[in-house]
Amino acid sequence: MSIILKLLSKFDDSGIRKAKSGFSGLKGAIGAIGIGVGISQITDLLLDSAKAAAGDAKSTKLLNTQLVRNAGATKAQIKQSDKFVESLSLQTGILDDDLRPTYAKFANVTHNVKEAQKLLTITINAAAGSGRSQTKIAQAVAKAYDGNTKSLQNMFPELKKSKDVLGDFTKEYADMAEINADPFMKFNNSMDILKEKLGAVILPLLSDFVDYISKPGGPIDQMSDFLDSFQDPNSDASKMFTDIKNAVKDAFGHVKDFFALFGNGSAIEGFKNIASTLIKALPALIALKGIMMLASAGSAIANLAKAVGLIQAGNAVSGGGGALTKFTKNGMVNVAVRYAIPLAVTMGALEMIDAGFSDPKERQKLSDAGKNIVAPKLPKNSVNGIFVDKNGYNSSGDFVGLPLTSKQSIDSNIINITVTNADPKAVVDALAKYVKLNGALPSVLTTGKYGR
Amino acid sequence: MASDIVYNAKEIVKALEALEPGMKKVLVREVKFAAKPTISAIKSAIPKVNPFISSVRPVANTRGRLGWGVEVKADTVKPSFKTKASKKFAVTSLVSIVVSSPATALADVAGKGSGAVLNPVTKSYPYKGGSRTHRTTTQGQKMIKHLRSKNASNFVYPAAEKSLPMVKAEIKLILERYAAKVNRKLN
Repeated sequence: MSIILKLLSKFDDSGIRKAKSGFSGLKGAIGAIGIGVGISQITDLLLDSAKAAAGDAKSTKLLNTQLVRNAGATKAQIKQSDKFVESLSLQTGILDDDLRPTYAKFANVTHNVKEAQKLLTITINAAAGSGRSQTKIAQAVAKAYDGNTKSLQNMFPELKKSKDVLGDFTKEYADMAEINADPFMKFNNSMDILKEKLGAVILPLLSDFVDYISKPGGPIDQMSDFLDSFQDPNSDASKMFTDIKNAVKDAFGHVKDFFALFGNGSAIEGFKNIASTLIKALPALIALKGIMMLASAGSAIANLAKAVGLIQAGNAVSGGGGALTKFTKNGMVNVAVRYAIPLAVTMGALEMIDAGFSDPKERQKLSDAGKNIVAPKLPKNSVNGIFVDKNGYNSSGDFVGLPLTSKQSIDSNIINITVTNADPKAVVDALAKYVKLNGALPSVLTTGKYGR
Repeated sequence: MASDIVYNAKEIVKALEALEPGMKKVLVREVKFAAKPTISAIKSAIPKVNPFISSVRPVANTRGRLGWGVEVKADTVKPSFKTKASKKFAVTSLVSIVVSSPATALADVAGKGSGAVLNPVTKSYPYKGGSRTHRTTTQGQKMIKHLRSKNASNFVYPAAEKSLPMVKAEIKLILERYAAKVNRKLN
């Protein structure tokens, strides 16, 4: 227990960073052996292991070739040499890939496996004990083995007075590599060796798999042919993509034509007009669905556009179309462009459209409706398909509108206006004046209350 | 007591030593010398006689770890200069003053807490082959009362406070001087 008065503090996070890197190494090592990891990490581990094993096999092969060529190593010696490198790596925490080149160098110099191993041990001990580069020490040791101790003595001046330079050097740094070994590095190294061993099991399987997929006529070849076929415009795959492209282009063209009919040649204006009318007339969602369905009706849209064009042309000759508005109790306005677009394509069609989103049969019906537009015959004593009595009241007692008389044709362009408690002539005059000034009547008309 | 933070202290010291071996020693000596006024102030504030002796405890503890002047002299106050990084904290003390006697530290901190009894009954502890607990005694409260009556508590920080700003500024100047030296030599 003591009291500490801080006068000045310092900021230095190197200690924390070191601790972090140490633990991240541990985390990696734990991940490497598959503790608490998911499937993808395990597959990554297998691939990593296979890679590590492939690298390890390559460097082992290189060393073994050197040992056979330069030191005349037998098969037993090669096996023993592999084990030596592995155990040295485990003891010192130095990667086996870093040990092998030095080992091969000493094999070249000594022409003896045992001597090479001895020199390798001396070198890594000295490197760990002195903090100097392993490669530089290896060069000096190799020279000292051949009798030229100058560079080793220059590097380690304490050896200048020594009579047995290599012997004293060995004694001075004996076991330093093992003593100075970083425990995390040792652990990581052990895990790397485990990984390599795991990889050695995976590698033949992977090799077989690669052989299979890359054999002539195998999956790689087949995929390659398939991709090549896109380059040939006459191939089925290429034709298919061309058809899709054309279909999209045609459909877009027809949709554009259709909307242009409602916007004096401008598709965007037409779309805006239809959308605004539908949104005003119907709950917004149904209107949107209707527009989208009309737009996606494919070739039927082209026919519908033609039909509407013909109808409009007809209307132009006979003086333009008209609109019949119906005010319901809740204030909603239903619009039926009775004389321009048949009821089947307006209110009824929109119901079909609504159903068409979920029912393929209904969708087909809608498509067919566009092909063959026929104006339905409205029943007698009815207004918009609702049966009414001669005074215009439905079965519930609500006023709907006066029914058409037998004299009135449903195809005529006469708007029958009957007004209760008002002067019909004044209303007709007002309407005529409006149409003269503004053209067609607006889709929504405001009025006073209906009375009996 | 907040203290100023110095950056790259370790690097400065390392560079100094690399430029001129022995410079680090000179720097540390200078810093420690600069801290002398505070050290002397603290030393003079530390009671000269054992403040724990009272009517409740008339005999001094001469053997235990918390005995006055046992193992460590009661007025041992040392400056410390540490550049080593911590593995837990990024900000650590570079220059500090350590009052190392446990008895002095005990006397100084006694009564600084709230005085509330955390556990009215102690944890179970082994006793004569079995275990037992006991109620928390009031000995500590009596000790605090006694130390306060003799003005033998909370003396380290008040003594240091007077000279501290000057010492801090002086140490900072020394460090800046050496840092400038390093920069000049490197450039």
